[in-house]
Amino acid sequence: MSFLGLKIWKVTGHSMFPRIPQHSYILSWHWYAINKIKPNQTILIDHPEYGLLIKTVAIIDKNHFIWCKGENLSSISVEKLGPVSKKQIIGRVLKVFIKPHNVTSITLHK
Amino acid sequence: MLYNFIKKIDKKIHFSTVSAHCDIPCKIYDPIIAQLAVLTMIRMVDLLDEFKNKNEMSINDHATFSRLVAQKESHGKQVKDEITVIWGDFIKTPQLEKYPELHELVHSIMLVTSSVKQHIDKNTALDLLDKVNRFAEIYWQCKGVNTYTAVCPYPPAQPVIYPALTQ
Repeated sequence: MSFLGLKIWKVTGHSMFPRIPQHSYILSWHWYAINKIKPNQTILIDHPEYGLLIKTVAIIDKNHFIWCKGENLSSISVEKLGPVSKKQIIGRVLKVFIKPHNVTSITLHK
Repeated sequence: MLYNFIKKIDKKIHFSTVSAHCDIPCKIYDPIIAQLAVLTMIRMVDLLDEFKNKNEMSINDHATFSRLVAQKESHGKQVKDEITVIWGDFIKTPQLEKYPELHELVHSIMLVTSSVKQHIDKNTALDLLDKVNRFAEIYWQCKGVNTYTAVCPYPPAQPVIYPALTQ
């Protein structure tokens, strides 16, 4: 369910820990993804092998392909994940809601 | 507070999930944890059933009763957690195409687990074990590992699917 391109998702998996622990909720905006993607932004991608992923932009190569990474060593490597095109990006993360005993919420400014 | 509010909404409308997929720890999956949790629930039901024969409950009986119910609850939560992690992190399109019953099976495990938590009913608990065993069987088949069925050598002495691992 989305509203004006805004959508809340639940995060599973640990590759974005400690910034986005498992079971956090995130608010993504699809239209925001149309703007220029930059390194260190947190994005949602529709990966052909791994499905719907949340990752951090590592680099954007000269062919405008986007290479993504996780936030810790347990993540799939940038090379294994491979490049994705802008068409595969389904949103950018605007806000992260973490369990209360950690932090209430984190706003992503990048 | 905001997290709890969103979580309450999630319970009602179930937000879509997005995977922070990882490689190193997340390849360690084993349905035996869920199977042991179901066996524990069955054992707790057996022990709780023994209270039916008592005319009066002492304070110690009340304490034991509470502990058994609490264990049944917590192991029910563990069943749900373990199954959903394998389902959410390990199961992907190829497995779903090969075993189209998986979504329905996992959903029914969630429902029956809730039912076992809510009641003291041996038949429902055994039904849950059947479903979790089937889930384990599919999981090991996905991994290319043969399975066999054996009665666990401890109470509640119920049939369990085990992987036939070789050296």
